[in-house]
Amino acid sequence: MFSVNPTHTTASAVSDGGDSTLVLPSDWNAVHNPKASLTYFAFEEDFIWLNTTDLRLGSMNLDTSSVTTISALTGVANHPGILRLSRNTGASAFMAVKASGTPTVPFHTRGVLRYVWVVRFSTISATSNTRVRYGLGDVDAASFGVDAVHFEFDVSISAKWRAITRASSTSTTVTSGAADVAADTWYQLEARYDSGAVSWEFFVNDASIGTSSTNIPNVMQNFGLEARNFSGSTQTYDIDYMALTCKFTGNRYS
Amino acid sequence: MDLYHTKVSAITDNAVAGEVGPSEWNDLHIPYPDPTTTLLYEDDFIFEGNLAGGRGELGWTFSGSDTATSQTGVAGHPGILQLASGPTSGNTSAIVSGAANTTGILLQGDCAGFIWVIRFPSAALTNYNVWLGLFADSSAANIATTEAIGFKFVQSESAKWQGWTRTGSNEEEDIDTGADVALNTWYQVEARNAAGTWTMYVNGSSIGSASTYVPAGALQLAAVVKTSTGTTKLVDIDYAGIKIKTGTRY
Repeated sequence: MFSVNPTHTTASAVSDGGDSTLVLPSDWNAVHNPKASLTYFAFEEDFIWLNTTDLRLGSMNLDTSSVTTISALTGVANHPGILRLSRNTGASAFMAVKASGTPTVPFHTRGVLRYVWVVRFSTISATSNTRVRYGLGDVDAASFGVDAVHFEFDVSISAKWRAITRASSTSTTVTSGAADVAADTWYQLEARYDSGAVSWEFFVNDASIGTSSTNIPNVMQNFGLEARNFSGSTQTYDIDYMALTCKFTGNRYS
Repeated sequence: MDLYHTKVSAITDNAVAGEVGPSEWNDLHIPYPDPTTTLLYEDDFIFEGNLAGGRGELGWTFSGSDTATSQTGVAGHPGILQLASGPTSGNTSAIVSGAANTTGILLQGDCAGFIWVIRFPSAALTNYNVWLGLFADSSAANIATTEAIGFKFVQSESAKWQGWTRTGSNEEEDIDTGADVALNTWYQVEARNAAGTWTMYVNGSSIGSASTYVPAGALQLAAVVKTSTGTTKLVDIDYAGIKIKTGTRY
């Protein structure tokens, strides 16, 4: 198989080897998000449709049934399509957004190569004691369950982004050394799995905040957002983009 | 660069020690989610044509006087959605990526281009009105005068596809070149954005560019058909795709 690392590779000479009778848009085939092969599959959502009338949303069939309000924000530069989630029904309000409704655990934590979120908070209040998690876990459990790989912002614990790997109810936490999380600011959260080292590396705004090689889960889980609001005041969560790449091992037939 | 027509004759590995990623990434076929690369969202309409609540990757919603229904595919066109205007002069139907015809979703600067593949299957081209592209308001009342980047076939104006940008009242740039539109013929219409200059292509050939009246406000992808006579006008839609290209998102 023709195999190179596109991030490390320079094509030093190119020539047009095309069939001149074929007329195709010159750059339409140069997109960088091929969706599928039998070995890899990517789920990606940019929310450029923003249809909030259905509880099964977009290419990931997102289940937003526990969200009080979902709304579409007018796109702004570099953020085409923004989904706003809010929950305002009292203390310990729980909200989850997950890929698919049933089954609730479609992804194997060691079959996911990476995932990406672009998110922001409209407000951050110590009194509201917000806790929100993005990533792989038991999203329905309001705790991400006993096994998870996720980013967490819990203002009662830290003002910074933290990343957590969790297996059999034991967690390893990586804390960002970057600036405190700010309101009305977009953050890009990315987690990458290294199957050779059996570790997860976490990135905030393209900068690594650290790697976890302990408590690496090895189970099926969901991909989503889980938020708790301990004060009962309204909290909103904006999502600009979310994506996940899976790798499947072996054949799909047996 | 046209990758479809390109041979790479030499490749150099510039990997830096210590920066070697997981081995699974070293394959060009790996989907590589990165919100700042060029992202493609598309629909080949191979699903059933129920557009009541937002369907498919582009979250289509139907609105209008008649219906949007799935048709039996034909060779080279797997999955066809047929949009019908309705039988009364002025009847209009639309599909829009999103929940409503007036919800602005993306700025043109974050869109690298879009493609539609369609044909006109009705009995006559007279009194046809079709708009395809990005619009601020794709409702029946406003589609002809809304902020827009796209294509239109308004038979009373021109027998050709027109590339079209519009920012407001009488601020419109039309590209009216190429061959006349024909019935029952598939057309691939594409718009590409290069720093605010939109070049329009019909069947892979440029018909011109527009940069003067490019909308500044938020737009959404839509297709609209309207009849100007007492018979229904149809549009068969084989494919729709849009490319997103943003800067850093944080």
